Amino acid sequence: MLKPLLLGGLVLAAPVVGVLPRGASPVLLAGEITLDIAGLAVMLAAPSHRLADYQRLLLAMVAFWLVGWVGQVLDALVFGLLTLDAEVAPGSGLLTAVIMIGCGVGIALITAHTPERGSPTLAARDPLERTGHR
Amino acid sequence: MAKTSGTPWYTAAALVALGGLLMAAAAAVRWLPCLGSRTDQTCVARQSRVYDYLVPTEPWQALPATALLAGVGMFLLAAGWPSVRRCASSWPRS
Repeated sequence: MLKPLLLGGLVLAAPVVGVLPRGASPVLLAGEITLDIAGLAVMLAAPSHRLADYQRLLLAMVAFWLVGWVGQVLDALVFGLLTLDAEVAPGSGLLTAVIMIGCGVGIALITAHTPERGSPTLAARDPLERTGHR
Repeated sequence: MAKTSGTPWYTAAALVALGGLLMAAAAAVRWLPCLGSRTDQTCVARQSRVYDYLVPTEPWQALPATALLAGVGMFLLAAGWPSVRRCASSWPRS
């Protein structure tokens, strides 16, 4: 949550209060990488026995990772193949945005196809969710 | 509408998708002049790094519309995370 908040705040504030000095780039990149690794730790620590929840968390995390340097590298790789001599290839930024939209749609689709917690359908499917009174 | 256990996930999904939509709009605003021809003078100018709107470090000359759209898009993505965390914290532990 912190990474999009930080980058969004910087981008929105830049036209008003000015931009960061060039020397701040490596610090910003290091901060982004640290937050991405923290996101990876969250994924690894999350319980994976409920597949639908894990898939939705993963999709939300992919959108989180794509904001910033990961998305820029991905765009540079893909669009750079189409325009080899450009400093920034036309179209850069579109791919990551489309993947983010896809992540949102994916979360909604998984939610639509997942039975509500506590419903008889889910209880029949997922034995771990049952309350054990014998 | 009654709140179900899927509601926070739908909220997160809507915010992530809307954030992506705004980011796509920001990219579209930047690259609009390249739709006709990639050799167009405006398109060539937009290929400079100074028009990058995601990392506001010098030299930076992003179009105000791209900065606004991308900034709000990233805020929306961030706004989706409390819903994700609420769902994740309610998972039963194995």
